Amino acid sequence: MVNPQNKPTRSIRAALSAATCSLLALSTPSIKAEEVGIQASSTSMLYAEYERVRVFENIISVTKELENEQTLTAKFVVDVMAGASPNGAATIREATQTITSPSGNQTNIAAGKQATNPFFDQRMGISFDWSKPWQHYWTTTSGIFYSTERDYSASGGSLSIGKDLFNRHTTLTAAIAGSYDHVKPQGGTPIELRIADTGNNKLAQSKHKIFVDSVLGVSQILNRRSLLQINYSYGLRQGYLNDPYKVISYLDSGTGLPRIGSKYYYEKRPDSRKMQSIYSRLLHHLKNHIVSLSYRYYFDDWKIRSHTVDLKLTTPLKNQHELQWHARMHSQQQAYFYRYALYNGNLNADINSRDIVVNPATLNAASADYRLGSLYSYTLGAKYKIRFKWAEIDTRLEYLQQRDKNNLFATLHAVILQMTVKAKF
Amino acid sequence: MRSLHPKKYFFVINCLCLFFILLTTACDYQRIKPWHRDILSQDRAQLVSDTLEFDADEHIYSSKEAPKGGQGIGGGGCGCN
Repeated sequence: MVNPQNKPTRSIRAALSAATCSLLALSTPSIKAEEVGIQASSTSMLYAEYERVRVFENIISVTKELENEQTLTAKFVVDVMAGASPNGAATIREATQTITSPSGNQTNIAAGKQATNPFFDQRMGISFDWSKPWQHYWTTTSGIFYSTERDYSASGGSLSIGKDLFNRHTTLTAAIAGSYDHVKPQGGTPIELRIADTGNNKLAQSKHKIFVDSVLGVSQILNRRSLLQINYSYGLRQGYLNDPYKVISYLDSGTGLPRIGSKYYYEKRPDSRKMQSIYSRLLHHLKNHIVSLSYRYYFDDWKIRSHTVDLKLTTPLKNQHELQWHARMHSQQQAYFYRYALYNGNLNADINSRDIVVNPATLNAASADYRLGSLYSYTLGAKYKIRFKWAEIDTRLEYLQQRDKNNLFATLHAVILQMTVKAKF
Repeated sequence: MRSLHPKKYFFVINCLCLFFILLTTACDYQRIKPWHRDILSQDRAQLVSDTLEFDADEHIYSSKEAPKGGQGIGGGGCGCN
């Protein structure tokens, strides 16, 4: 008996996640009774932000059953990304500001508008995962992946080990994944905390970083209708962790305007990051609905803390159709080195004393990337699924809103539209 | 959680209440036989019922929020904007 859901079918960016999730799903796979030779899946997703980024992502996944319930999964990903991304510069309400894009072009940003960098990129990736059950209810899943885009490449592998216990009521999982990422920023690698006004202060060298992630998890069948999953995750990032396209504004504390000759500095983040999270999820069948509720508490040594709640309510309909509602809420606290802007001059009531800096180059770290700031995210949406004898098709439409807790950045509005087709042969 | 807006706080509290209600219901622990696993064997009952959707969500949220992972191991990166 093989459950197609067990198969490690992760995409590039989350390629390694597949292994663990697949294994964690093993607590139920053993229950499934459907034999599948080959399962092919394809999804197309459009992620569109209002006046900002647009991503068109396509993933094709093929899973083949081998002897002795082994499975081999190949996955291909192609992304096209375009639009404009906030570059970290503070919004100036009183005057137009001029920013220099990574390619060296200068752009005028109207007063009151958030500064953004236009960009275009394509990403391609491939991954392979091999899952094998062993004697005494052990299962291993191993995988490798590689992805490349114009200024970035990532390669790595993962290994997960799962053990079913107590007549398969309990599944324990241990997983580890590693990745070596190569960064070659467009226009050169910025020198940290150097003036970025003209696009100079860059080096023609590439950088790299190493990711290591590990998970210890347990999933437990509580009764005929309920399943509980709890994970502890520990991740380590080492190397070049800056975003080479982000700057931080240096403003005059009296006027609030960028300082002439030193308006922006390249950001600098610590070169290591230790990340931990505790994730729990409960899946429960009501009489006519299925409820999935998860909660994640995340914390790291950049002093970021977050709470994420995810709720899905699935309602089976007539003729094998299915409707799923989705709500997600995320709240995060800013990194210790996050600053909206740096200031030069005298302290006044509107400025935090720690943001008054005589020479930004002396700081240990500073970033104005709003994603490291304090923010809320909300997602609301629905998915409709149609099942046929040989395939299933689903479409989901979701709305995402991201809001800065301090109301310093413009609120982000985005729409997610995704269509997935799965077929079994 | 202290910094949450009251409306969001209300949402989180509701979700936590729902979680505990479900957990209380679910914690009616029973050792079930293989032939009683019909409900949990459905596709929609899997912990990762849609891997491609999971991939897409990981892509979106890991590039728009500071935290990463939790549900599984998430290696590799991107120059996400």
